[in-house]
Amino acid sequence: MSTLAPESTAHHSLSPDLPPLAVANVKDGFRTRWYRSRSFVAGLVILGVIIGLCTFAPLLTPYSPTQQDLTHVLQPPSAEHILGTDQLGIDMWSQLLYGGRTDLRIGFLAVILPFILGTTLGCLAGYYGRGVDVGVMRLVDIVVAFPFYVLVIALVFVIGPGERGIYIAITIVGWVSYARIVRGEILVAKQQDYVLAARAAGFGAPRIIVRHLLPNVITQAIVFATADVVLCILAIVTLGYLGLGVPPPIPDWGRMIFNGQQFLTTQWQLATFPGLAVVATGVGLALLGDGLSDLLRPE
Amino acid sequence: MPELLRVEDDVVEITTRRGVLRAVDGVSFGIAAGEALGLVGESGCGKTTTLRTILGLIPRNATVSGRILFEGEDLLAKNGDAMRRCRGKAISMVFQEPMTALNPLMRAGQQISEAIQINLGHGGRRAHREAVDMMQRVGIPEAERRYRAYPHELSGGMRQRIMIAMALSCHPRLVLCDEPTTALDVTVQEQILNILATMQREQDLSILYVTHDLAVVSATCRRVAVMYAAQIVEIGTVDEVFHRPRHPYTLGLLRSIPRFERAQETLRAIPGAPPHLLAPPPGCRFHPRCPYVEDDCRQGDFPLVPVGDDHGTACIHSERCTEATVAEPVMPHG
Amino acid sequence: MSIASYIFKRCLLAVPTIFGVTILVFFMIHLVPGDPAVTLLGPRATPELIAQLHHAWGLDKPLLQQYLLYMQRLIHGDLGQSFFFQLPATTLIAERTGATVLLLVTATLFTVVVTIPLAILAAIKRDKTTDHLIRSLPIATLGMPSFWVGIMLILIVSLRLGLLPVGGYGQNLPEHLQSVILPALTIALAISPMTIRSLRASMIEVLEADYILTARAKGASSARVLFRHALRNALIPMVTVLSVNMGWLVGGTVVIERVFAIPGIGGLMLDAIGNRDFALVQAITFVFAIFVIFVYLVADVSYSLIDPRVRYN
Repeated sequence: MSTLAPESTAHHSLSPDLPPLAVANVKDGFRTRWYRSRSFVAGLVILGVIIGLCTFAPLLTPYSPTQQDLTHVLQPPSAEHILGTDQLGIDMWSQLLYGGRTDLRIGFLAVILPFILGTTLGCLAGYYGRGVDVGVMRLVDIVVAFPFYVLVIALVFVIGPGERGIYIAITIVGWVSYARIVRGEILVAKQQDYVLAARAAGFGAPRIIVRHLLPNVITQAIVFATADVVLCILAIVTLGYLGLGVPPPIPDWGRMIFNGQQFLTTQWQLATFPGLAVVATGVGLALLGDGLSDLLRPE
Repeated sequence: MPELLRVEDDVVEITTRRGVLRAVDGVSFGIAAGEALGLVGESGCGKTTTLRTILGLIPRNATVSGRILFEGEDLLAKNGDAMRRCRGKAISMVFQEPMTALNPLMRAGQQISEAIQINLGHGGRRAHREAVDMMQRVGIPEAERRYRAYPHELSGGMRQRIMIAMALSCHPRLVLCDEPTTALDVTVQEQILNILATMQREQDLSILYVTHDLAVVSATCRRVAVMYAAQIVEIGTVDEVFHRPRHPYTLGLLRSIPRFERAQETLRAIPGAPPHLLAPPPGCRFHPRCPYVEDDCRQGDFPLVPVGDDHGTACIHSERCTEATVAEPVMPHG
Repeated sequence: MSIASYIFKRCLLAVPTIFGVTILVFFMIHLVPGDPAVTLLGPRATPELIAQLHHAWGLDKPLLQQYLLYMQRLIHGDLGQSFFFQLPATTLIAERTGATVLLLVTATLFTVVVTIPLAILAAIKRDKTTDHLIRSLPIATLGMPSFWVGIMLILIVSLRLGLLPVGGYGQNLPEHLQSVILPALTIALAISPMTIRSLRASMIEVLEADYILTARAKGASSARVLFRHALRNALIPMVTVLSVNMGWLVGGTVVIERVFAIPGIGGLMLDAIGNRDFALVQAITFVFAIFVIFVYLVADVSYSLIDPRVRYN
């Protein structure tokens, strides 16, 4: 039926209205199109190289990252030690590779709990609104009032050294972003027709949330997660620099930089290369996230 | 009457991710000095885009071709600076939604005096006085006080009057109106239309009304052009076109307007939907929905052909409309 | 509604958050595994010190009473006593505030100076090369640890070029200012990719607004459109962006102060951690949170000054 509906001037886009794509189309598109996004592929390649290097560390270096050699301290790069040695004679290249294992592993794992916690709370806040929403948002306000590193450092200090403290601290601080994103998406999505239809059909809230809202809403959270991994790795590395991260002798890029800072004038590569490793990982993940957000966005 | 504006073969191509589409496809019409022309059609038919090409305000991903002659000069041939000097001064524009079209952080009256300062070069005080004067002329009470108000403090009708005052403040010769009353209450609509009509008479303006509302056109315009799918399908005087339409689309539009006298009647809508501009149907774009369609409608181009004094149509079987109108007359509106 | 009552209302809204902050800070000690006193004192634990701590914190009393005790002290401005220095936390924090404030102010200044031109440039030249270059900044810098950037700056600017001191704070104001440049720059560089991206997005939104079209239809030149219309409307998001990132700015000082050996509150916190001085850590955490809340309040108030619509909410 044709009616003369008034034109919207909310935007100057002149492309005619197209029917909105259902979720299924988006996912199909993703599977067939993923190689078409240059950022995604580039990111994947970079990450692949880094992860590969770290995984195959034993094949790439004869030295152990904890093996000291006090007769060869602070050696510049050479044939025996590709990147030289630190002040305890430990080979830099091995530390770099094994340190990557530590930092990358913790970084990827540390994202999971905040993701789950934040998404859940965000869903509840967005769907139920009112009391639940106010409560969750208050929690958000409180956590957000603390500068990220201040709270993380304080929590790590209180809980004690080691991985467990890092995971707990990051979870307590990191769930907020996910909650906000998911809540925002749900607030919009729950007005959509298919949700109203589901409610009219008598579906209960949990079913609606999980089966109908969540799939559409989670893409944003996933895209953010890729950036969050970078932030987690940065946090771990920073904690390592401050002496609050994984304890020695487990290799860690952050602590390597701290050690290297004293020798900036002579062996500047000690402090530089671990940082470059973090940067490279960040670039890979950022490209991946960018590509992902491009691909997951419905046309 | 001499012609003030003549648009010739205006084509606007927009590059989207899915391909190139023509939002305006070969539109041509003219407006005489002191005359009001209505441009009607559904959403997405290209009427707003046509309006914007006249002022050169098309989006970044669009290209325009054709000629737009204003007082003999081709506006499309002008460079950026020359075009800018034209805007607001010789040609001005009134937008649909005054809440978003006015800068929320700037006082209402200042936005009018800004136009005066830019285009007439008058100093601050003088511009202020002239702005207040203009506000009074468009019927804003307590103009001095309202001058200092912010847009969100004013009602919808008041805001639209500010927009009109702004558009008329520099004495343009042509005013482009993009659905000026659509966002307003019905009672306010009439007031605004009256203001526009009064100002048109007083300043001998030409007005181009873009709207979907046929009633507005019949109340305010002398001539009307009907657009469908980026093309003009019928053009002529309001009297001719609305009483003796010569295009099935126009006929369908006129018939689809519900009227109170015949309350038991079912709504008569045109079946189907307007075509997607990325892939318009071949031949006459209306043919898939036309009740009088024949084989020769499905191929070829259909430019406007005259069917009377100042009445043109793109339909090659327009006599079918004449028969239909005779059988069942279209009542006048307004 | 006048400005004063608006400010008062916003302050009231901050109160529950402040309460929440105190609860979280207070509760931190109960996250410590085992007996907090023993764990925190570590190797220095003696039965006397343990008893002293138990008494000082009321660990033997019920939870609610402990909290009330804590709040009571707080209201009187008592942030606790540092174990290590045996001095009130407030005194210690106060004497280090100067350096941190100087660093923060300079860092904010640098951030604004870097962000605004680049964001505007990217928004105006949207989708052209300049924009793509500017937009690729966050990708390159997302993974750059700020402390590493600081160290690299030391390497290049201080060591190789000898332009600025390697660290420390100096004795007088000119030396303070000199010492603060590199750290402030580091913090600004760490935050700028985020602020540029946000401001650019806001600028684009502003530039596509209807009233910009109106201004152009009026015959306004690009310069006038930009400065008279777009910029003012973009100030609001700029303030938002800054205040939202204030958490990162402040958190950044903690790490950066360590890199450049600046005697500020952040450095104090890290020293306290090294000394296992829980009371001081708790006090500083609280101070930081209050400061951030204060910044949000200031941002809120400035909205009402910039945007006349806000006052009527």
